[in-house]
Amino acid sequence: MEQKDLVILLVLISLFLIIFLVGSVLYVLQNRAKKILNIKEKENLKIMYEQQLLTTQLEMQTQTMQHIGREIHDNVGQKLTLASIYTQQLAYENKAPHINDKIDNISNIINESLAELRQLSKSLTDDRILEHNLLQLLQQETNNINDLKKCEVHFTHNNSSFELPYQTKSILLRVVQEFFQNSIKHAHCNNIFLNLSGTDNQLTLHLQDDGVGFEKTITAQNGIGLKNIEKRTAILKGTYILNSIINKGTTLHITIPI
Amino acid sequence: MSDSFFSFYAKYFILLCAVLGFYFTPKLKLYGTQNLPYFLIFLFLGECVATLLFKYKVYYLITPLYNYVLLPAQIIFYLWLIGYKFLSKKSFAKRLVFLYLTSLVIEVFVGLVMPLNIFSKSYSLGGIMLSYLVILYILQLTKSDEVITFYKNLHFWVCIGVALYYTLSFPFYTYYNTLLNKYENIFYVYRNIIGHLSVGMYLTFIFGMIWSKKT
Repeated sequence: MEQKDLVILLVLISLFLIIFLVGSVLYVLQNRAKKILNIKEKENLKIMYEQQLLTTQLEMQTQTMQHIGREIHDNVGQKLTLASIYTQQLAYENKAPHINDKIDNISNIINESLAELRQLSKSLTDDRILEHNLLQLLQQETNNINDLKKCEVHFTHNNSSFELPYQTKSILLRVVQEFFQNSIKHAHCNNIFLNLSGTDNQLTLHLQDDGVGFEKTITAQNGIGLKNIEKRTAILKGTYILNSIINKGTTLHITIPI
Repeated sequence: MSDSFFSFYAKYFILLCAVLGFYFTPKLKLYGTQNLPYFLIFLFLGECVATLLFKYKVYYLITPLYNYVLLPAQIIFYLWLIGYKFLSKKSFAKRLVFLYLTSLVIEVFVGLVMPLNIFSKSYSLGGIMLSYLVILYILQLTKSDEVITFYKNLHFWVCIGVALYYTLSFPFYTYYNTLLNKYENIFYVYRNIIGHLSVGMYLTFIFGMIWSKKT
């Protein structure tokens, strides 16, 4: 083999090997890009799956509540109505005058139970979350608490448009209800301050009470309600800040993307 | 060989790589890479001995030093490092080492009949084996999630460095004795290029050590 031919051969072999090396690195880069795409797709699918699951859960919950509500109204309600009629008939016929007072008492208890059952049935079957926006729902909740006269809720907002999906409305309403319940039941507060403000891309909910407060480290272990608030905020991909000072009160600040 | 670029200058890159290896590899906690700096120190000392032998004109010991110690040690170490440690193919790595040693023994006997300067054929075979292991490593890497952060993995850089040197030096070592005996002018130019490639390999190691994810 001549020297020139040998040089050409060596250069060609080397070129081939360089191409092989560069190809290997490019292969790694290509696979990396594929893998990243794959992981992103998986994450998107997971998010979609979780949202579908949540929607299904909420639908099932609503259906179950409506079913229970109808059953209370149609079945237990009818029987109690019948019982009420019979007791009233007993009093009317005056067959046992010495127990008329007791019959009246029984009749009153049955009627009160009926009224409460109807209220419960109505609250279970109504579609108020679907029909109202968040502002209206929170206003209703505020009015309900204020009607109890146990403490006063001060509701403020920035008049933004609060047209949100059912899921978001439902979760935020449950969070507010949880906070109200805790503030009245455990914190024995006099005032609750509720502020709702929204921008184009996020919604902020600020809750504050002037109750007895609690030790976060102790309550964090057993507080199912607090865990629920945390979980619900996480479902909406929001941030959650809870602060409580003994004898000063509790504040809860939630921000969610919309 | 000892008068080459490799022996005089490249050994300092080996030393630099070893020193950085002692500093960085304990922080990496990557399986197998802790042994790399010790091997590089061994190589550096071997190159220093070769330089001294050349300086004091003990030429007859230089070639055996490379043939029986430094070249086989490099092949065996990298086969063990990539095959046994990185790929965890223990029995396969052992078989490759056995195959390489067999080829070396055969070449030793061939050398008795037909005098050879360097046992280049077995070294080339070792280079092919290493390139094959690097391909296996790359295939394994691309299938795992580690491919996302491959540039932070010292294993990847070691494999690329080894592939860079052993793949591209394959034609040189295959024709080593032919080039030296018949085309001496090409041989010296080519050897200089290979010397630079070896520096490239150690620079790749250094780059990998600095860039790899620390724990």
